[in-house]
Amino acid sequence: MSIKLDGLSKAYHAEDWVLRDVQAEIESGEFFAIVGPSGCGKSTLLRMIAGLIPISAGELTIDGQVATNLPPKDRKLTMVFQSYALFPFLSVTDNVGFGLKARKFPAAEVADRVNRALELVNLTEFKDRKPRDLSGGQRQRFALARAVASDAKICLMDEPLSNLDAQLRVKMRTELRNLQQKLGLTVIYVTHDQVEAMTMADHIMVLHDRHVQQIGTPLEIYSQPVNTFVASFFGAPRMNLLPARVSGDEELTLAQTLKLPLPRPLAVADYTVGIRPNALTILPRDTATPNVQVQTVEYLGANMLLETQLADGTALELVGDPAMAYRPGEQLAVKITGTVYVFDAQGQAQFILKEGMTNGSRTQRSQVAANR
Amino acid sequence: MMSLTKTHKSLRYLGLGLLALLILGPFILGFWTSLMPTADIAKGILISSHLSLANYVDAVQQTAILRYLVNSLVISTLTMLAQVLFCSLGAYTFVFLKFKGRDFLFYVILATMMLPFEAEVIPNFATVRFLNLLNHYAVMVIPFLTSAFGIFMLRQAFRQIPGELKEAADIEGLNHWQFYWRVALPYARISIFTLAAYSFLESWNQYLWPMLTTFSDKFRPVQDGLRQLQSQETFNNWGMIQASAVIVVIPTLLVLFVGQHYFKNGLNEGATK
Repeated sequence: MSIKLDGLSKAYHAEDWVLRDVQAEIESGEFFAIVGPSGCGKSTLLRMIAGLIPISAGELTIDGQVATNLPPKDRKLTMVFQSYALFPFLSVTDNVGFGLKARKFPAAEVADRVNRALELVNLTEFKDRKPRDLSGGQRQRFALARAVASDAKICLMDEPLSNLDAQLRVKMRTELRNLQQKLGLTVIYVTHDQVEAMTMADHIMVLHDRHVQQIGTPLEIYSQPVNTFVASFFGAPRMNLLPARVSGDEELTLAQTLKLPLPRPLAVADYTVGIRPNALTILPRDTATPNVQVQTVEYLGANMLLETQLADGTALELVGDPAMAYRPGEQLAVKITGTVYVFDAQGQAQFILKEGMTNGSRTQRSQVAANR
Repeated sequence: MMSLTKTHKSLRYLGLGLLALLILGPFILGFWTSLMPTADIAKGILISSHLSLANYVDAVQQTAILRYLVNSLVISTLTMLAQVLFCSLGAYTFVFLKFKGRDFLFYVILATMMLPFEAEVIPNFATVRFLNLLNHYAVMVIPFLTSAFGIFMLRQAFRQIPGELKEAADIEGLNHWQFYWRVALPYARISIFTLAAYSFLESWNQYLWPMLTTFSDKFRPVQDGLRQLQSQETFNNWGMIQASAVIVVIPTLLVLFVGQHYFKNGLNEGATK
């Protein structure tokens, strides 16, 4: 059950595109996450795949069959909603079997499928309850059971975990992933939570500003972001993005203070340099000239998050050792020790410096060009 | 609520009790006089020593009150069923179907609520006379098959149905009739019951329209029947009229009593979130 999105676009009014030219291929049995900030069109895209919102342009292929104009029920898929969309007046059993009955499945088969689905999500003992008598996590599992009960192999999920509390969300993440693998479902999962996408997905599509920014495995997205948006959206704490200028021959000056040697000459222009907090090292006190001042300190247990300022006022986030007891107002010396991402003024990735080594990223640049 | 002392509480209940008495007073007085002989009522005394159910026996035996009851029951039930059916279908259309001029049409329907019924009486009368419906059940049902208020009320109720329920139903492949019957109606059942009770009572309490359009006891509903009792007798048998009034009120109370069980809130909790 592979899915192919070929130039999918959506406009509610002529030429006023809310989604433009979405290109992706989703393999059978894959967990595919669509991530982006709220309002980026990710729910719209999901509903276009489901058939709930008409596709304005482009072609949708499901399992080798063109499905662009098929009604939702003929696309052989199920959907799990953020608000669960359970029928309040029906018991768990009736809710799960609702769609099967509507499709005129024989009663025995309905009962059989419902029981199997409830077993899969461990809800058998609650089968006679009404939705209102269940907790948030149970309702979520119950909504999953409804999707599982149908024999469709594609399941679309629209932020299914965002109404749960943090602990339960982590637990359900694992449950969901296990269920998907056990049943070999092809899942398209919409979320605004980059952690959810990173932990569960085989491939991630990053949507922003009506366009696909990047598609890749979680590792690719994290280690080779194609632009500043993807770079800063993934990873916690967020990547520092510093304004930079080429100065001298083979040297970048970051925020007018930090110097970064370049392996090859770069055109004189403005750049943006991305450095993840864990790629910066705080030098021991009194071993070097201080270059940042600590603004706020957040204690996170295993480490410490420092909000600091460079001499020109540019903010820089650092990760520090909690044993060092850094205080606001303190001056620190910081050195770049990890990967550095160099973006051009438009935010497109130019190259990646790995501890002084350069990694060309022409492949990614051409990918970006294809998406535009 | 620990601050509520006993005196506070009893004062509150005293106030509530007084208000209840004020509202129930006329009913109690009416029920009481229905048990008294007319001679005592005419004398204007309240405490009678001849309390009996004789008035009820008289009302049932001497007047067509039972016939009126049956008439009203038939008319009100038909009106109620028709209004629930047609108002819900109309409201469904205005919520779940998309077509050009939908909202304009809805506002036109709303605008008809501004028109007082009295203003419609004459054209309606002309119409039903032209259709040869006078003095028949149909004349009291057909003009009230649907109501703008009912459509408005159910439209509001259907709008409460979360969009995701409709989307879920679309994915399951439910067509409009299935969604209407299996989801929209059960989801809005509290509003449906309210509308049913409301339309039943409204029909039951109709006075002006049946007075104009019915001429025989065969089709006359209760409210006009009661009026009939007054003028038929040479002298007004108030005790018996009062007993008839009590009989007429009973179905109203039954509807409200049964209905209030359904008017409770919170039955829809747990659909989403």
